[in-house]
Amino acid sequence: MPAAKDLAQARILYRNLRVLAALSVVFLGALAIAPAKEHLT
Amino acid sequence: MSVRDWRAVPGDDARAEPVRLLLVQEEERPAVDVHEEDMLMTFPHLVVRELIALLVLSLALVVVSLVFDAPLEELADPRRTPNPAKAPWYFLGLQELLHYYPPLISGVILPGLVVVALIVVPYFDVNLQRAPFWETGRRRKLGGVLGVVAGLTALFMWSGAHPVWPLIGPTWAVGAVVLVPAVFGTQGRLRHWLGVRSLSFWVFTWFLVAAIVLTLIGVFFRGPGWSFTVPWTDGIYY
Repeated sequence: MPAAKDLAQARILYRNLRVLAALSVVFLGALAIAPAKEHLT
Repeated sequence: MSVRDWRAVPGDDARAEPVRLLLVQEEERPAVDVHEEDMLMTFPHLVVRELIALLVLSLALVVVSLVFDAPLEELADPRRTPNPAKAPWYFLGLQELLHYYPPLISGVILPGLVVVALIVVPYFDVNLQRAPFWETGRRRKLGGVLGVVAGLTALFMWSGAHPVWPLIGPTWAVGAVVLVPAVFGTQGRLRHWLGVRSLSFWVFTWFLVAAIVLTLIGVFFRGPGWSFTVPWTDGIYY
């Protein structure tokens, strides 16, 4: 049985990994949109 | 009793008269507040957070570049060069120094000395205890401060093409503040605070103030031909 402290750290890490994944998607989207800026405005 | 106070006396015989010595090494670490904390591995816990920070910053830059256009001027024309031609603001302190000294000194030697100082400082015994400057030898240090201020004033007054007031001014200002606790005593919170500052604090304060003054003058007080201008009447040249 892992200690409560380790579990808490694992949860934080899991949450951060999800944040990282979401941000990566947003970032790739921004990179895809940026060159099309001329057509947006 | 510290190690330095202990000495062997002729006739001491460890076999005849055993003596236990407890040697305590003097504290010689920089004065930082340290307390034990729980530890985590750098990977993945920290690296993931750093990647998040990297992505957030990159995204912010992408959004800014999408929303605002860069403040570019018209195409460069070699027949119409801008006057004054100013570097980015963070270089204008060096450009201001170019007004007084030849490029080799202003652009190479002085910045080089700063970098060299930053590299070698950790290898010297630089006041690790951070003792208050005025703690000991008040009269001697009073003369020392006045001597250094006078010496730097003479150096900056006559070594350049013009008197380097952006360096003389900070030298006098910082010198005056250093002298306050020695001349007027250390009553009151502010004077006490000044009184317990270390020499390294004052040296770096001088460097910081000089750099800021040089940069401010370069940014706001220099116009065509690097002439002295005042921003509230002549405007800001950039």
